[in-house]
Amino acid sequence: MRQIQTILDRMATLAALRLLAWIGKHVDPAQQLWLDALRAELAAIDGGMARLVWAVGGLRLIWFERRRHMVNATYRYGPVLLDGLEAALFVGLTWSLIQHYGSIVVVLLELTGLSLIVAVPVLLALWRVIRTTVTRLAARDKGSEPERHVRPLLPLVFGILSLAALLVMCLCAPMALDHLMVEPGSPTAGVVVRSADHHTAEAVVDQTGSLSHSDVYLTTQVKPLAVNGVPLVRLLQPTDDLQALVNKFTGIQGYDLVQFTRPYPANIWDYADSNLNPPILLAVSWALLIAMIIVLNREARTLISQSGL
Amino acid sequence: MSMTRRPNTSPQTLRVLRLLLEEPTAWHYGYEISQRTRLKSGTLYPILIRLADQGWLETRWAEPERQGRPARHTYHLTQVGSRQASALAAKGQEAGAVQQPGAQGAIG
Repeated sequence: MRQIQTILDRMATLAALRLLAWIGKHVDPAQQLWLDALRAELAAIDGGMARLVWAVGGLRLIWFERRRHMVNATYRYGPVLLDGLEAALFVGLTWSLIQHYGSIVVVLLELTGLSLIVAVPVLLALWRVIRTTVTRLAARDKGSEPERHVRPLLPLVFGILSLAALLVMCLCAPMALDHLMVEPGSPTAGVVVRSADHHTAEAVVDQTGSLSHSDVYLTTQVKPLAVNGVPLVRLLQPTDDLQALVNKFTGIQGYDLVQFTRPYPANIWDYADSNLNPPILLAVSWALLIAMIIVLNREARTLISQSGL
Repeated sequence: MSMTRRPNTSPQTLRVLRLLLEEPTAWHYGYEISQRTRLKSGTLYPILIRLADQGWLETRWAEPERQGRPARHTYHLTQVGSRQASALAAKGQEAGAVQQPGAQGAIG
């Protein structure tokens, strides 16, 4: 039994030496001295298994230096790139919406809904900052400082600005729409549909004849039921297929533009929209991408700061 | 969204600093530090590297105690390291996170 123990000890010691030799071939030259230091300790360790466990720790020296370089580079450039990407995506989103709708009011309405998506990571970040701040204050009251220190000012300002913007858009959107509705020539009543049935809306508006160009775009979300108090059906030409047009309005949700509705192709009745690219889908994609970038940016910064390098 | 952490305030690093502070002029072996702080070599050596890079730790190769044994690397705190480690200890940052190291003797 004792012989077996001795053999196992020798084998483990041999494995430890082999492992350190292998590490020596792969370790950064800057860490070679530390590997030598680690290897020199082997002679002071009793037991082959203990030596092997000690040698396994040397594996970390291989990626220690690489990780330090990588994190430093990430710390320097990563957040800046992510910030730039966030800004570019937001500008792209706004620009694409303006291009498509041609009306800043509708863009605001769209952004109201999209903000609900973006607001989630912003709220999470805000919650994290508040929680950390409270923890720090509590620790200070106890006379000891926590291990990690947070600079909450910047994320707090961003969070408050985001929420304020969201609130303003939510409050302003219906008022802006109401203002549009009472203007002469604009629809005085409307409905929200669950689709961006652009062509249908244009077809309807073409037959009303009293809407401006910008209202055509407005009808991608708001379809006129009446113009200046005159029901739409009276404005349509007798030769129009009224029933077909009326059918287009089936499934209306009511006048509630603040409600964010995702496109729902199943609700675009007998309408071949395979060639359509509903703008709302595009906008949602943009918003989700921005939200992911925000989360990624936050996590990257946290990981970098926690690395302690 | 920036979070920063003060350097050398992880519980593991504080454990090492506490041990070295006990006998600031003594030289300590890596294996001894590992045993007294209960840190694995894979955790200990990156900490030692970092402390040495920051000028908190002085290193030297000690002559072998017995013939045929290799020279061993030894460590102790520099003046800067002692001052910084003392400041950290005074602030009580390691409260609840630092285990009291053993009372085994140091070398030299």
